Amino acid sequence: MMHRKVLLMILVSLLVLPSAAAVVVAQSSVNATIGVTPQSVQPGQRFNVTVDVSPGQYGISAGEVAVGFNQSVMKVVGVEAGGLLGPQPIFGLNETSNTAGTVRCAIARVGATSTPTPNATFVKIQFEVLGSAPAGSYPISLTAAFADADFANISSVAAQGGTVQIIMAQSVDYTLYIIFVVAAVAIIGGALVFLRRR
Amino acid sequence: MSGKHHVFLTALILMSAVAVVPMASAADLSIVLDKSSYSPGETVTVTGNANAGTDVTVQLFNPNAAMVDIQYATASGDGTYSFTFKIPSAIPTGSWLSGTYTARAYSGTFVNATFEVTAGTAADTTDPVISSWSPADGAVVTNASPTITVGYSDNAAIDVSSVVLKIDGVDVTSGAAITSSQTVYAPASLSNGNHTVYFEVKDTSGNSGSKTWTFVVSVWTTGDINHDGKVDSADVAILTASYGRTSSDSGFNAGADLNGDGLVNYIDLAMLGFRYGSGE
Repeated sequence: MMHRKVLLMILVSLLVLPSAAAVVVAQSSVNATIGVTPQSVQPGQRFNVTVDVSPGQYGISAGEVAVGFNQSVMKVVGVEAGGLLGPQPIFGLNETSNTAGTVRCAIARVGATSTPTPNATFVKIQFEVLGSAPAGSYPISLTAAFADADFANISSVAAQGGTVQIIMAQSVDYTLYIIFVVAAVAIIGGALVFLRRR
Repeated sequence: MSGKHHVFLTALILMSAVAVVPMASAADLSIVLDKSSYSPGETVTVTGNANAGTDVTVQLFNPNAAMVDIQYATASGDGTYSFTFKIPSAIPTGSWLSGTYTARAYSGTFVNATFEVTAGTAADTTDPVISSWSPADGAVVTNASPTITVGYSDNAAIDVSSVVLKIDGVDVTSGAAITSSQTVYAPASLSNGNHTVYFEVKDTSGNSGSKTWTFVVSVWTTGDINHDGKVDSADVAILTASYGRTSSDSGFNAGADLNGDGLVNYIDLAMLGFRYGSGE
């Protein structure tokens, strides 16, 4: 009976400990990811790209990101700070090049930084798909660096890019419409002729 | 030789003597001293008249009639002469004794003048030397409480009670640590800007030395890159202008490199952001 309890405890430990370890590992780095909304867009439409940050155990006082995109199919039309660094953060850098296909932003919090910083968006970038853009899947790359609450560089930052799908607008089939109109005209015309003869 | 010849020679010799004596007569030679009594270390100035262009010798004799100094010169065109004799800084020294001295001017004949020399040592007329001071003149310090240190020395002895230290005209001597060689003062807090230090010290003989100098206190809030007393968008603009540059790049602004790592980046921006709005 005693052996069974020990075995059960070992079994439970083997199941629980790796999960706990995984949680600890997840909190030891800052994760930055690209979010795309909507994920599928047509030429001429606009979509938003967000740099979403999961600070883990860190307080984030400032950061710098570089977002790369395919400048032959889309262009940047707006950049604004997200909520990661408070309601009124300051931009130290805000450079967009629709020629090079890059957006670089350095943003800092105003005032002291509490630790940890909740998950939030670092920056929002609005894109517009060019009218000549062919359909396809286009990557949005991301590099990111952050400073912690004590103004030290956070060495463990994982940045993950994203993709946007460009789709063609569905062509409208006018055949049924034409048949319907012709039929309607024929019916109405026939009806009128019939009424005159009577 | 006949009696007539004797008379003629005698008359010739007498006439020659009469002709020579006026050239070096006592009436043309005089001696004057600038003082009647001297202390050790002082200078005896001897002046007088002699026949123009004639050699004049002046000797000094001690109270025992032993010569202690001698000088030669030629009387100037207007018939004057001048000599100076330095009395040793301590009496007695060698043949220099205390007592009555005789100054004698000789130029064919001689005239005397007397003076007194008193025993003792020369009066200390040397000022203390202020040899060092910090912060240096014109220095810019980033500490609001810079230690003010003044070093000095004297050939005799410093009168530590004579020290006066003022900052911006305010006497702070009572708060200073004063020794015979240096004075040290640590102000509680100085404002940004220029500050003038006045330091004065005397020796035990009353000789004084003083020094006035200015240094600059430059203590600014982190992030106040343009030193206007506030951290605002103007500072952000300066940082932005230098963003991404290293200390080896042109356009690098060391003031924007708030953490001093040689690179202006988001870390500096974070530090500026921390103070953003302060001072407004």
